[in-house]
Parts: sequence; C-alpha cells; structure tokens
Amino acid sequence: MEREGDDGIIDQIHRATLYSSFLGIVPDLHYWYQKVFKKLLPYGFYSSQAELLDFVNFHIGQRRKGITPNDKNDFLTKLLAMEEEGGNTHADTQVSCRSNIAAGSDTTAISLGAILYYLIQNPDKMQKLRDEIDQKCIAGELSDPVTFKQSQNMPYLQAVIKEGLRIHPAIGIVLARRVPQGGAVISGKFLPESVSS
Amino acid sequence: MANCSGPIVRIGPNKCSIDDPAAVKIIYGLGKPFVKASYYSAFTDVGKTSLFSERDHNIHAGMRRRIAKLYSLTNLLSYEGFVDQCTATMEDKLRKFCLEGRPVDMGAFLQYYAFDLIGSITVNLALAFAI
Repeated sequence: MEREGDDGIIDQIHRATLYSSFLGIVPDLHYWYQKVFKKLLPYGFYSSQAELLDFVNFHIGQRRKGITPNDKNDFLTKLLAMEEEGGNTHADTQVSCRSNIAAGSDTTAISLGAILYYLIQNPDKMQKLRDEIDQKCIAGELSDPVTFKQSQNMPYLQAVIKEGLRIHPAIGIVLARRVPQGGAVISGKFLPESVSS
Repeated sequence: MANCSGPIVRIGPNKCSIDDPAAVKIIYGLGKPFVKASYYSAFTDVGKTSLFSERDHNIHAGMRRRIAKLYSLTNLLSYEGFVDQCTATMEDKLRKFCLEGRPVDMGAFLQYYAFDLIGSITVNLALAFAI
C-alpha cells in the first residue's frame, strides 16, 4: 500500500485461483496438466499453487531465522509457539498461514470494493450510513479508530456489510459436494449417490 | 436457468446445480456426510494438500482442530492493532491522493490494503510492500 504495488503475489494468487477453478471442473485433467504443462512454464502456460506455498514457506523461514521481526499478537508467533509446545508441526503452521493469505486477502478486498461501489451507487443509503456514524460520534460512542466492539453496535453499518456480501459474494466458484451413500432428498427431489451438487 | 425449470438443474451427466436456500443446511451443514467433490482436488498441487482442498473429513477435521483456537473471538480481537495500523496508512494515502487531486483505482488500492492487513496479522509484515 505504501509503495502502491506488490511483489507479484496478488497476481500469482489470481492466476492460481483461475487455474484451479477451471481445472476443478475437469479434475481428471489436473494430474496430466501439471505433469505436461509444467514444461511450458517459460511460455506462461502453466500456473500452480506451488508459488503460493513457496511464498508462505519463505516468510515462515525468514521468521525462523530471526530475519523478520515478530509481534506477540501475530499468527506466526502464536503458531511457532504452538510448534514448540509440541502437538503442532510445520505443516500446521503452513496450513494456517496459507489459508489466511490465499483465502483472506482477495476476499476482503473484493467485499470492501463491492460495499463501497454499492454505497456510491446508492447515495441515499450512503447518507443513512453517514447519519449513523454522525449520531454515534455525537453520542460519544466512537473512538478514532472505531473498534470492532463499537462497530458491532452500529446496526446500519452491519446491515450494509451483510447486504454487500449478499449481493456480491467474494467467492464465485463452484463448491461442489458429493451426494452420500444412499442418496439424498433435496428440494423434494431424490438425488442418487455420488452425484455432485 | 433455475427460474424456469425449478430449483434443481442438471448441468452434466453426473452434476446438479441447486438453487434452494433450504438445501444449504443439508449439503454444507456441519457433520453432514456430503464430502467435497473432486472439484476441490485442483486447488492444490498433485500429491499435496491444504485446508481448502482436503477432501477427507477426518484429515480436514484434524488440520482444523490444531489451528482453530487462533481464529477464536479472543484471538481475533488481538489482531485489531494490525488492522488499525493498516487503516491509518490507508487514510494517510487517501488524504494525499485527495490533496494532489489524483484519481485512484480503488479496486487495486483495496487489494493492497487487504494484503497488507492479512500480511500484518499473519507474519507481521505488510505484504503488499514486503521484500
């Protein structure tokens, strides 16, 4: 944000997600695509989740070596402490960091963007939100910056957020599940076992 | 499509698309036997696994259980300081853009904000300008 750019990780996550959401539709091709197209990497025909994993491992490694500073509250500090206590392993640390970066960043940006867009498109709603902020401010119920707890007592703001998430969900891909053994009844129709829904 | 043919539309030889809020609980409800379809397998490299792509319920539950406490409300509140820091940087930036009369692509800018945010709470580094 400071230098108004990134090191390519935003684009990398975009490409990896694009690859996965298309290959997921024909998952049998995934194995062959990875084996064959990897050779075409220099031509840009290949994308995988490996770069994201490398990125995560790089940052975990930097911290382990003491190169990057820690903070008592960040995930990595807590995860490494859990590793030391035993029970957790490097794999768990990786799972948590990767999930945060891959699933938490893009979705946050998309949701914020959508909420802002719809507020600009609907000036009356924007005004209502501003009125709520002003009222709470006058009542002395808001600090600067506004805390999470204070924002929970702002019903219009909460409604704006939820409506934004409803009309523009950040996840636009198929989240297919398999019908279990014995089939299932959905919307009054029987779906036989192992159908994807 | 679902509007003219009911809530269930067959979209492949063995695939259905469902448009019914009541189905959400049946399909995605906790402890329900609807396992992830092979769709998820493309979300990690061949031979690897991740929280999102893991299709085995027990393995997934184990992965989840070992990191779950970091996502509790108490822990979530401990990350608030990082958010405040990133938000302050964003405010400064937007004020500067405003004074300079410079247009800003909010889509891209919010991406940088979100990456800084997630980077800060995860590895204590604002990732959008890390390295």
